[in-house]
Amino acid sequence: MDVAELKKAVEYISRRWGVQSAYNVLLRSEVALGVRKPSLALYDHTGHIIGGGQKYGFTAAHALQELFDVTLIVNRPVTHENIKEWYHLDLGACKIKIIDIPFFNTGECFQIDPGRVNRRIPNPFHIISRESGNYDFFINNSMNEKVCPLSNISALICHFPERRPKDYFYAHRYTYVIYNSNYTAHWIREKWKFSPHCHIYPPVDMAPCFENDLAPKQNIILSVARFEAGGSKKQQDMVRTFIKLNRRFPDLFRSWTLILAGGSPDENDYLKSIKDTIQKSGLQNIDMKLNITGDELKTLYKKASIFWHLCGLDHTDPALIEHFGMTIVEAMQNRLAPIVYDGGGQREIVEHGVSGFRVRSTAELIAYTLKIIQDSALCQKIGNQAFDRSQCFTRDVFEKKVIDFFSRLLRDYRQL
Amino acid sequence: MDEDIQKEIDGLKQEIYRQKEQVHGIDELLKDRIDKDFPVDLWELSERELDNEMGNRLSFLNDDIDTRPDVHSISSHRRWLGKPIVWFKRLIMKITGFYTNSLLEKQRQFNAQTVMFHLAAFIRSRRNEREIKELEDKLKTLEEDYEFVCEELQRLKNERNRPGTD
Repeated sequence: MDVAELKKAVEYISRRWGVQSAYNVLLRSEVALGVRKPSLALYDHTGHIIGGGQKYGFTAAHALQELFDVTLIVNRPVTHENIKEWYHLDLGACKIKIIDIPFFNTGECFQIDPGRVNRRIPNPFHIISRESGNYDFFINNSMNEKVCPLSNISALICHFPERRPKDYFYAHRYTYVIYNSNYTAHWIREKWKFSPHCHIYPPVDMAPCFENDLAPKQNIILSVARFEAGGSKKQQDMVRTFIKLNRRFPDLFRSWTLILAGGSPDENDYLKSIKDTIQKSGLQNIDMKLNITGDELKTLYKKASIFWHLCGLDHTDPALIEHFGMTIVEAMQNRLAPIVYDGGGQREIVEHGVSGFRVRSTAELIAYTLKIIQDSALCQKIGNQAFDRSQCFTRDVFEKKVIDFFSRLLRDYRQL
Repeated sequence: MDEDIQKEIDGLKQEIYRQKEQVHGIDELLKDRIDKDFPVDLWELSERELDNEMGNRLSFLNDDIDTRPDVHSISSHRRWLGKPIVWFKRLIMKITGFYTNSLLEKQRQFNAQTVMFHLAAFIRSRRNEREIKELEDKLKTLEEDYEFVCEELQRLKNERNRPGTD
């Protein structure tokens, strides 16, 4: 290899396409010549908070830490121990780099919200954009299209296109856009006016470790969802439906319990309204489990027979409809028979009449719940088929797809 | 690979990295304009997006109420000529300000009134929405109660018509 030629080429590229492009050529040359392992940075501005989206990104990092020299870029402190505790992922081979964004350090703007950034202020995320240019591969798992990728290969993981193209919009500048469901892909096309590239469903791993971990099923209808202040998860509708079922079929439902599990802040008007409804009904068989631990949740999944999920019911705003529905898959991995709203990503998980039922109204929810409750063999059959279906969304399947996709990219990248 | 070549590449990389660090803007790093304007089709927006859009636009309008030029906005980066140029420009601004200020003051007042009017309309629309939501919730509860009463009536009727009951 002629270094003088390379030097000339780099100088020409720097003059013609900028110094970043020249740097990228050198990075790629190093990998192609086998000088070092390719580097990859995964950015998540919400990495310090527990969540499904974050789990997606960190699981991808877990899958890629053998192929790449991985750095996790976050804006607030998070440790390897945190990640291990929250998602059971050992990211020991990954480095963690905390990059502070001063704009979000003031009291009013403490929460890192890309929605607050508009053209009237300098883009505070450019500090991350610049950092992205120091790696061969850059993955943005942030739902933050305001980071402009500068690396040779870049991928934006889109869990849902929250905002339309506006100030500091760079989603179209990524080499690849990875999406979590066909529903998300549809809205990327609608809102961002381009087609995303790679479909990888989120990883879900809530199945009991051993078959004998399976407890006998009890007469429990379970719902697992955050108590959103706007009520988008529809727990109030579930409570009303259950009350109605109790009124109509008191003998049948006396032995059934509805359990609503989910996270909520202390001050929550929506939660208060649900508690009021339960209190007014006088029913004793509705239970709320707030902010429970992962182990408690696992126990609930093991015991319950039916799973209700109505996120999206009566909503027209696509952002308020479930983009995928990880808790539904969690329930299916524990052989619950799911009855879910027929919309959003839920359509891709539950095959109507096979691995559960999809409903469009509370009247349909009542009908299918009765059908399952009155036929325990059907309930068991649907639960087993739901379990089979849930195997399409496991961590192993996810990691395999991630490795396949990035291995292919890396193979091409290594060839100059 | 030859160790010398590796060293040469490493040196080149460090040099380019140093140059990269000295460049301020991303546009300059890429020799490309990365920001562009995206037209917004308001008809495509959902209720929530429209709500955000109204709030943002109103906030921008509010920031731009006063269109009068600020003397401090005139500046120069020229080393020697800068100061007299700025002095002269500010002088011109003061002289012409006598004529333009009354006009711009009227414009400022008009802008302020327009923003207030839009804000009032925005608040009214928010309140109306909230009332509609409350009415919808009430209607839903009434429908459910009505359904329950009908079912109970039907049940009582059936019980009364059962053979053996008077």
